Amino acid sequence: MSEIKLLSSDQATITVQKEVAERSILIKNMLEDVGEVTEAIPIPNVNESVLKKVIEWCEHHKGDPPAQADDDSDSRKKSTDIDEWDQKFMQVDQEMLFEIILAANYLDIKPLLDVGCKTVANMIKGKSPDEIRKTFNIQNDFTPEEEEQIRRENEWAEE
Amino acid sequence: MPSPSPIASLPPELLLEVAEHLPARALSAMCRTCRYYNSICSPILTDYLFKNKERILLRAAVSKRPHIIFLCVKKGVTLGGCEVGELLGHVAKRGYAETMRLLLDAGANPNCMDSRYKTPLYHAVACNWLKVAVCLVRRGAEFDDFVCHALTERDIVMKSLFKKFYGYRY
Repeated sequence: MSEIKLLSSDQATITVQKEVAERSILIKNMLEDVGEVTEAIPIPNVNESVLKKVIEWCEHHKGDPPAQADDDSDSRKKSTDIDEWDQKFMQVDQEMLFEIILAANYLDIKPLLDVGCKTVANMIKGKSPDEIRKTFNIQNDFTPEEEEQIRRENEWAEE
Repeated sequence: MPSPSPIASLPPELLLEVAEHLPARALSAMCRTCRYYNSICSPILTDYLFKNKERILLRAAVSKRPHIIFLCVKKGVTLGGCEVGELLGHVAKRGYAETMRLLLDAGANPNCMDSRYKTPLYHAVACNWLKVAVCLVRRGAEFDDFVCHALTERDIVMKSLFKKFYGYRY
């Protein structure tokens, strides 16, 4: 099984199976373009700890079928179901969670991006505006009148 | 507009991805957290409204909340789908004149039928809701056989009113 090296933004070299790394469409396309590589592939936007976490996900999901063409359908987006392993994988602090989402976006790993976004969505669902503010450290910059106006305008959605 | 942290360390396109996974209620809650998230989530919530307008309007109509219908219409919701007959039928049966007016102003056809081929005017007349019937007639509701059949001697007040204002004879 061939291996490649990835170079994180903090200059750490990580060796990974090519098949695992190719879960990233960015890396897959890069390897197709340049052919065999002996040098470490720089991943300038992702640090070592996040890259290791992403690789852990890719290793677990290396045998998964590729994403379907209709992956942007409403049914996919509206669902927030996450499989058990992924749920445990995403039990990290908020900073790491957002770093994983950013890395998945940069590396073009759509299923991981999807899991990350669903995890954040699940943290929001069922909460009041005040609870969401507390969860994500959001500063309320509305006046009470403005907030009330938005509440009234969106009352149809509050069911 | 400054971004709050840390969730907004995600670029807007990724925040949109997150928001796409949220149901309407959670989107509404997000809109109310701060200006930044209101700007991100509001367009998605509006899309949701347009995609589900008939169900949302039906709920608002049945629960007698014309202000919600008013807000939906203000956002640009128009009516023309096959569910409109059911929607108007519910409103007519319950005698919600104000709600009926808003729905008709939003473009609902006053002559559309429900699944039992009954018009809103039939329901208004059969249930003796004078205000609703007048509202429908003013906006072009026609008297079909069902409606005329529903008019009984008890409806003399309604009949005379129609006659007085619109010159109809039965």
